[in-house]
Amino acid sequence: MATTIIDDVLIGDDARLFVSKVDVDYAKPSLKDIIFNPDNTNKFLLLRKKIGSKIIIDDVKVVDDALIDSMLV
Amino acid sequence: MGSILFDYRIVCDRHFFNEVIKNKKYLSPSKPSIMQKLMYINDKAKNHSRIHNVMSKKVFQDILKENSSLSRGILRASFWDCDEEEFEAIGDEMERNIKIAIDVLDEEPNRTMILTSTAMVTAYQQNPHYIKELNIKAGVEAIAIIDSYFNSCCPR
Repeated sequence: MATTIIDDVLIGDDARLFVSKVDVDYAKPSLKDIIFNPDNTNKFLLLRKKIGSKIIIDDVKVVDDALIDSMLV
Repeated sequence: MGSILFDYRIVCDRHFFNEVIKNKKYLSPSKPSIMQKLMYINDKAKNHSRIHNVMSKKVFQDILKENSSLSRGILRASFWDCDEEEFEAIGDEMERNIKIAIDVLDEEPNRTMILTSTAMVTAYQQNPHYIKELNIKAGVEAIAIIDSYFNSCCPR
């Protein structure tokens, strides 16, 4: 089954809403913990989703300056 | 904090991205980085959420090509990649950015600011397509405006 990988940046609340409304699996259980961390309410989260027969949350990162800097080298 | 009607829409060119965001020639005195501040401004803009900060699609794609580690999602959170065929067909990048900025003038708040590098400000102002209603900003002046917008939507 072919899959598509999509990166999306969502604010913490929107990321929670997304994973609550859509039936998703997680590549690792710790990714769910990152999304539902109460500290993330106003922070941007980078969600990497694998879209196939089922949406799998493949990776989640908190968007901070260290992450952005690491992508701009 | 609700959405904010900022007094200018933003059109960003590749020179601003390279000078301020990538090479950090000018730095804001406050955290987070300009890229993150633009992300919040783009998200919180009243009536223009996620489309407040505009970038030509060609420029957007070139930036992704030149920065292969940069996630499209991160860049898209800070800038809307405007894909108007009429503008993207324009080969000259400065003319294209000016025409995108003029097009955005039609929408609230009817003011547009082009963010570029310090070396390009005069070139924009002397371009035959430039009109005086457009504001061209660069360097510390551009950073001060972004800081002010960020502080209004994300007070500490």
